[in-house]
Amino acid sequence: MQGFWQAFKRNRMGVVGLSMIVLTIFIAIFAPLLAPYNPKERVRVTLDSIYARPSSEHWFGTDDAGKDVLSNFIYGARVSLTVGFFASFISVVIGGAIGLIAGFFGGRIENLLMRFTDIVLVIPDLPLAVVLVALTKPSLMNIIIVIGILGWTGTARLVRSQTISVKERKFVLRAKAIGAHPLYILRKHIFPLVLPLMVANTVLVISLAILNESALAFLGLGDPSTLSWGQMLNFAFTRGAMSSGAWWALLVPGLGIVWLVLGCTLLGQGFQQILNPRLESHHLQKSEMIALEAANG
Amino acid sequence: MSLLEVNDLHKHFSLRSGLGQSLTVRAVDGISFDLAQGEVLALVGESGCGKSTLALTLMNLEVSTSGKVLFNAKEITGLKGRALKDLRREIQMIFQDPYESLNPLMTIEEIVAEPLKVHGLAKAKPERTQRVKKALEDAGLNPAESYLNRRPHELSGGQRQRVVIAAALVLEPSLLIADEPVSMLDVSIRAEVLGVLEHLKLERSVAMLFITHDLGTAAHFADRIAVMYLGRIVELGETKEVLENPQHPYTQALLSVIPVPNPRLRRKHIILQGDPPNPIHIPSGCRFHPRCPVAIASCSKTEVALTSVGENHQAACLLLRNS
Amino acid sequence: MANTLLEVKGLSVDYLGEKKAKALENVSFSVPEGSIVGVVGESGCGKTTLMLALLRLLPQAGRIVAGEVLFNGLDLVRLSEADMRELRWQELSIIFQGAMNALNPVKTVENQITEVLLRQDSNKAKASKRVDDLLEMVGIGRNRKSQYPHQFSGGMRQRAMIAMALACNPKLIIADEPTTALDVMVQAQILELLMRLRSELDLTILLVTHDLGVIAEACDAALVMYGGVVAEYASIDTIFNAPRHPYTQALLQAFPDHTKAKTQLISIPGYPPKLDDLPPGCRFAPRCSQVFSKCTMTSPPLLSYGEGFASCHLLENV
Repeated sequence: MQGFWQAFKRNRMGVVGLSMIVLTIFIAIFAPLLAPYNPKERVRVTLDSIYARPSSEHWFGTDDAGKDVLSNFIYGARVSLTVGFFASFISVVIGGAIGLIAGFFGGRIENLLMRFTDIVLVIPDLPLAVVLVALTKPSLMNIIIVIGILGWTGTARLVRSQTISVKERKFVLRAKAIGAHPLYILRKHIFPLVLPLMVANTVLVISLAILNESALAFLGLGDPSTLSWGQMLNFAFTRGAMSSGAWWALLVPGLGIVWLVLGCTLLGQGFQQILNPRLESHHLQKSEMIALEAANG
Repeated sequence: MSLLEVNDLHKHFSLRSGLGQSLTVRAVDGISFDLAQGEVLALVGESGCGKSTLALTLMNLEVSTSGKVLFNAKEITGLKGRALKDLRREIQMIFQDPYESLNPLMTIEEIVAEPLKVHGLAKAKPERTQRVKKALEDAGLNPAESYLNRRPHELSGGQRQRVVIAAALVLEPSLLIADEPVSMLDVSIRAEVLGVLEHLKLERSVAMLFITHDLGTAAHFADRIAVMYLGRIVELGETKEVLENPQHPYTQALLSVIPVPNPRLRRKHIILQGDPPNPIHIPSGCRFHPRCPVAIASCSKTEVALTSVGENHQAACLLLRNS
Repeated sequence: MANTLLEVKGLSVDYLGEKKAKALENVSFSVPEGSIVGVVGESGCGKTTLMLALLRLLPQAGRIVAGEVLFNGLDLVRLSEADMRELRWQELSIIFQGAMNALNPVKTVENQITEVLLRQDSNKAKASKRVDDLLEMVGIGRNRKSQYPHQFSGGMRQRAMIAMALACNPKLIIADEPTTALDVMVQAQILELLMRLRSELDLTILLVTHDLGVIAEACDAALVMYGGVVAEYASIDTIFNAPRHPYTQALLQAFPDHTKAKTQLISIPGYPPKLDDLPPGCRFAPRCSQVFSKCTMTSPPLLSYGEGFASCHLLENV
């Protein structure tokens, strides 16, 4: 673990990604303290306060209902993060379980599970998510569940291949030779070694979930009782921000989504570089490769 | 009475080739031998001769195709469930690669205690630690306490292999199957690990099946040597007999090419051309005949079983039978 | 007396890192033209570093901090990177351990050797002829030249590597564990091939291995390394029959010899030193059975004892 942090500190991409995420989480937690206005508070709308330009009162202007965009944005981080974390948790649990079982038991079970994964993988998830959310009530909970149960395929494949490679290691055979039960081997010898990669993968799944939530909300399938960044975009887009030249109402939530997705991607890539250093080897000079080869051999 | 008795054991795998044909790999193809309590039998052969498959089959980690294996006069092939688990306490295995055969996340104590835990033995913590320490000390890791909380990456290759041995010893087995236990270790450390195994044999009369490609190591350690070629034993006898008076042409060739650490003893090598043979296409008759320097025409037609060529010394060669 | 082809004088290499590691210190030996010299030692003894330093292929953290490597009188340490690149393959070439990794998996064996040849002479017909000759020399049948490395067995791949190393008629070949991971029979084939090529092509070979048996079978002289220094350098007969360094003596007692069945192997207690955490004085002192007070204080210089050299304080009193 210590070695991991040592390596992580030297991985610039990972550190930048982590800082971006931590900053967003910080904003979400302290939203009531940071936001200049409360988005839930009723405001008396005058003609001037609709799509008002950025000013000292409203740093990022106001939206179609005369509300402060900055405050909406700060509170919106809560929704995006909530959906991101919980949906990816569901995905990783499903994908992890399927990957572990398929990889460990192999044979017919593996075939069945991986064909199922392939089927889910080829279905375009956004249209399906639209249908599912439209059929159920578009509540925050339903959105989380729908995104969660559609986003596990990548995790399943990754965990399966990692499980297979751990399974081939000799200490697993040794555990079999002492008479250990397969489930014991799975729990004690395989899962702990697959876990780090699963965690790294989770970060990438979070970014996917956030993007999916934004897309759903943008298409008008957000939870009406909350205001996520996607919904801010949706409102701005459908309620004439473009024609009023109110770029701030689109730009601010848009950048928020990009910021968070980028942060997650950087962190996830950083983790994977550390856990799976072979991915990096093509950056080495040829002579270094030869030297490495010799040193390894 | 022998501890282990192997009778005409076969292990075949089927492979599916690209065109849907199925190929049979006869990795172990009719092996018979026995092993007495406290005896060390070295199983020597090139890669692909089936020695590792034989080990896994004896361990019931692979299911044998046919043949019988008796352990303490009880049939153990195809055992399942409870009976198999009980058998595991009696037969333990040591693997070649000490870097791969320890879980990197577990402490040494957890690793050595694991067999006890799996078998529900020594449930009380003090007793368990006691037995772990004893096993570590028996494997030559002194003082045992200083190793308990360490993890594999903190140990050298030789120390790791001793941990593997300790984990095999903790159940007090009567048979150890060691698959190339020292081939990954440096020479200076190899002798120490062999010393630990030797001690076990003498003090606890643990029997050992010692699988190796290195006749030199076998020479120092084994009571008897069995030479394997393509899934069969071609020569079997007491160590001194086999080394000083090899009868099978394959054993003779193998012995001639093993480097001797004495430049004054540079000998004429009998170098067999070609690559180690492939168990998918086993030649007809004597399976060694295509590479055999002294083969005669009938070698490609007649299969030969092991025949006695001396006291406690058998070989499978047509030429020996005729003379 | 043959000419000296390679002479290494006081070569020292450091690995920079959190802790500086003295990977090689004051390594000196010479290789006469036309001989096979073995470099032997356990893992971590510096034999791989030595090989990489001679070829100037050290990883980035490695630095040659002192010494000379005279190849035909030319100091390789002071050569420019471009001149060194020119020299590699042409004058001295390498055979790596684990030929699978060293060969390109997506090119046929023939193409890979041709590529090496075309680097200096672009005549394709001549190159094609030369490839055929090379493959014949190393015993690869003509019908197999258009195959890919994965279709070759371990021994055949090693032969292909040797053909590649021979492509430009080098004077010196550095073979790093060329037979490790091969079966004894294949190992014997490869060693026989190297020895035959040596006499046919008048090659000089530096054979790096951990296997004393291979050294005894194939070499004319041997360099025994321990913990980054030369323990002993002498003719093969001296090394095996009258070694002077306690490490060489101990190594021989630990090495199994099947011509002596059931003799006791004597292990060397302890473990080789870590290069970033070296003991004071002689690096072998903590494991040496003949250690005395001076050994733990000063490291011994490389001393001549007539038939060879050894770095041991015991030789000072003679």
